Amino acid sequence: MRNKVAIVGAGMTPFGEHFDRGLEQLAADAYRTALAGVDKGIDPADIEAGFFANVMGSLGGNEIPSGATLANAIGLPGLPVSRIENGCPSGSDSIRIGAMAVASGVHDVVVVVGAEKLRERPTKESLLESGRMGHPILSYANTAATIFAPQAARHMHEYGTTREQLAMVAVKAWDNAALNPNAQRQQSITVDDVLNSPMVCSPFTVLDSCPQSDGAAAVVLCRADIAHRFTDSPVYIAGVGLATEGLYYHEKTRMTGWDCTRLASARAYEMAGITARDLDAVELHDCFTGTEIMTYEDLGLCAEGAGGKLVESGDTTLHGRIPVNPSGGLLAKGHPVGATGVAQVVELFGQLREQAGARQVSLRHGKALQHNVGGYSVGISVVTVLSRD
Amino acid sequence: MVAAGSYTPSFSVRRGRRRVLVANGDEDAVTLAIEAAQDCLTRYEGPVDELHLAFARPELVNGPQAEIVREAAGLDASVTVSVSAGDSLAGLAALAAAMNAVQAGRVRSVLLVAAESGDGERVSAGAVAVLVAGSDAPALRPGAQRSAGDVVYGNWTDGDGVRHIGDGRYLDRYVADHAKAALAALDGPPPAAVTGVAAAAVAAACGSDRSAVLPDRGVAGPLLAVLAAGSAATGSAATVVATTASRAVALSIEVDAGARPLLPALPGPVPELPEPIEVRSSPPLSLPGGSPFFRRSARELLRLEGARCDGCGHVVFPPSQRPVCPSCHGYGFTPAPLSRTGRVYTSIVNRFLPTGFGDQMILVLAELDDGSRYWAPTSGMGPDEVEIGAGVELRIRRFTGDGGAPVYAMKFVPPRTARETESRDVA
Repeated sequence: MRNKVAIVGAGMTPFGEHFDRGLEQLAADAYRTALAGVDKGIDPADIEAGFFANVMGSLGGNEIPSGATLANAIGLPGLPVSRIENGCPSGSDSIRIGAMAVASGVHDVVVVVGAEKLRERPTKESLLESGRMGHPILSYANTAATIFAPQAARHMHEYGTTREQLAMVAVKAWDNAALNPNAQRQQSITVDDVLNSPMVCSPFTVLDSCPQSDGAAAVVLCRADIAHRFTDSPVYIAGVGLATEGLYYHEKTRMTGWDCTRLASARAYEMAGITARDLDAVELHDCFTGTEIMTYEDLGLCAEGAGGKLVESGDTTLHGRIPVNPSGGLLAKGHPVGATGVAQVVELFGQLREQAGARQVSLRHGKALQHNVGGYSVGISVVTVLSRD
Repeated sequence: MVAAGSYTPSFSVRRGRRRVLVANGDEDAVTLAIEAAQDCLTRYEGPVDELHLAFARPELVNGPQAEIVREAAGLDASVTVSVSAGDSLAGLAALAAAMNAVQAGRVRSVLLVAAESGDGERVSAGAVAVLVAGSDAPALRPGAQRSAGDVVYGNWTDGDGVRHIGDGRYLDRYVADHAKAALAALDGPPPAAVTGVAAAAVAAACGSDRSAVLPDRGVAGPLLAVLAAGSAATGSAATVVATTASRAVALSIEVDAGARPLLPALPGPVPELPEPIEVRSSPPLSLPGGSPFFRRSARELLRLEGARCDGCGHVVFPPSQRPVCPSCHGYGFTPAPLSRTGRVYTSIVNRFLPTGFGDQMILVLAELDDGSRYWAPTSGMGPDEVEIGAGVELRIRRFTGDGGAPVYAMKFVPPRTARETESRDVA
């Protein structure tokens, strides 16, 4: 990024079912935690703008939220706040847009908050809502599982990826989440547990799938040249990339991964001036186990078709060659959509500052990558490269 | 009548000694009519001036159903459509009207479709289509037509006193009496085909043997009877009798010598189900069927019509959402129908569905024969039929019918070659 942008504070709520906390409360909880995490302190009056990642609003979808929801939730009515809804990458796109606002020189200090309440409605009702979204015919009865499963089925067919390899992704995620007090899942599972859990949408079982979650996460961004006012160990946004691709299945060039992820990561790597080999940790969008395997390939962590073998090799575990989803990922930390991308950056902020405790990865290059993919029919991806220097 | 087509659904149920054909849960009179119309049009190259539909159920009259059939059958928007509905003789009334219109020179040709959704008990589901054209080589010519009937509200009086038609014996006798009267007015030979209410009693009363009795195919029955009788009587004349509980119609058909039989090919034996497929309450779509969206996208969805870029030849779908070519950035397009057959490229079986969508839904992404792809749910297919590489075909099926105008679009069905077809007796 031409004008350097620093992250100087980051925080999140635990992810899970927060029946006693509303969207505004969760957003404020994450905001407070992020501000409290600014080493040298920060005055709310220093914040010049806000970016609010949120998909469903505070009424479970029965409203069109705006930036005013966040401004009021954090006690800063009057603050310029944009609400950003861009599918599953809403959180990471908000960071990207916040970083661009700082890099452009318009603002010096901004806050990015992602918050979501997915548990406001019964699962069956939210599924029905999902089934009614998009093109009435070309997206008929789509749910999250139906928009990621066809690729997994094709990947298994073309590359011999096995259901056991898919299950290993979930096992790894739950193992990591058990070390993360903010994670929704707090136990270990086995490959057999995954294979024997109820089938959701072939080839995904319940444990191949991420849960529905409530939660929020926040980061404070500022110009790199003033970061020392807030902390002696900022983390820098070294590169951002967003890409889109053919929306409907018949428009996609391949069904074994996502071109938008390839394109977004190529843009972020180029901006950061690094390659996949320079990464110490990756937080990627493992909404389903198969998504992680295919994303390994799209991010260049392994060759096309080798994703199943990569997880099987153990290289992506906490102490492997390239740890993936040390936080527990979407599969086990949870997936409150608007908060997800922000929380991935919160995790990597901690990892790059070596504050991740029991799940700390070893740092060699001081670089980490965040990734989301999604949007209706999975047509959009955001990748962020973070750096210690 | 110069061409005919038909459609028979893929399942049957046993009712006593009879096998009754039943449609899939997402098939209805509209989709059956589309199938039969398309089948008939594969055997006719000329222009179609009018489309006439006959349905037994009046609720099908006041919607855009006829226009949906016209669009899906690939007929031009200038083709006049009309609908007859009310009883199972609606198809014959439509046939008479079509013949008159052609004979009078008002139109060159009429595509007539009678579609019966069946009741799963007595009346089989299916549809028949007939092309009536004023060419110089008509194969079948219905001649004189006579009908006989009474206003009956449950009781009528015969020589022996007041009878109630709820008593099956009297209903048979009553209908047979009218059938005899209609046939006598025609002065025709014993009917070669009998269809409708009390068909066995009618055949006996009119001097036909049992082989003339056709199974009850509701509103599609009389037209099938005409075709069956005509096929059996090349170069001569034959009569047909069709009945309802209060009316009987007799027709005389002349068949030109050397005319090609018009009896449509019917599928061979179909799998028997323990019970008819329950028509589930369909889940609502993201937009109601009456939305202008479905008017704008009717052609592309009902005909699977993409658009080919005039600049570079790239094909986009759906054209209504892709006004700029992603390949050369041009704005000019020409309609380009996609293939309707192909092979499974990837597929999923979803078992965790929104309420109202049933227990499982199979979704397929297929590579079509022209190289394009299409994603759709399946209709009447099992998980073992959608493995990668399996053949599939796209046909029009209903997506939803609840809460407003029904919505129709393509679903995947087993390929025609797999649906064992053979020409066989209509009976």
